[in-house]
Amino acid sequence: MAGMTDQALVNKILSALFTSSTSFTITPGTGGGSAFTVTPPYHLRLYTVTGTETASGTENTSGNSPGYTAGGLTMGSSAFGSFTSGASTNANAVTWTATGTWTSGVTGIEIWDTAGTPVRYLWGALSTSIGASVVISGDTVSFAVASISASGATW
Amino acid sequence: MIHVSCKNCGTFDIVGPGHPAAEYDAGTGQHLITDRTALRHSHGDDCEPHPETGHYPLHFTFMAATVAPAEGGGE
Repeated sequence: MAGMTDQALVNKILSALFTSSTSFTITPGTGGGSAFTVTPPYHLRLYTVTGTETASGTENTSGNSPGYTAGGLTMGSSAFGSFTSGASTNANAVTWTATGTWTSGVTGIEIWDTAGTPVRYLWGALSTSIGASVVISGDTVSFAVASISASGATW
Repeated sequence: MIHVSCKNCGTFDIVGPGHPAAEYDAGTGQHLITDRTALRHSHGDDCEPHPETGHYPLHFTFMAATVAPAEGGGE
């Protein structure tokens, strides 16, 4: 059932998740399952093969994308602005400087938290992407403020 | 859309559908930058290539990406 959730609740949930700068734990009541800890800051990761709803993609590495380190870079605090109409965008720019040719392209991104075992929160394909060996040493690859939109409007 | 600018002189290009530097991938629905040399570039006298690569350093800025935490969301 798409679009079943009151949008005011969507805004509250997503704002709580993605604007927090400190860890917090959601503890379900009796029979509600395991506690769930949210661990900011979030990291933006680059992918040469885009993930899916259920599985992470193939992340770029320092080997095929010199200047990039697996695990990505912090999106700062807070990662996103408050959600309105079920959506928001990234609050800070994220930039990598290439130190060699990126033999793998960048087709997708994922956003993970920084727990001891990081948890994947968001994923998506880039509408325009960068092919293999286009980025070379000295180039920078950046995501501008408000370039990443996250939407739960159809929940 | 990707904003591509020369880090030396600031000449820039907006790459998206129909740009000669990008190819459309019907499999993914993405416009992929495949040809660096097709990016617009008109350097001034102060613009120098990278000393090691001989290329002009570029700044790729993603202007609109998609992250969809729900079915049908994003863009």
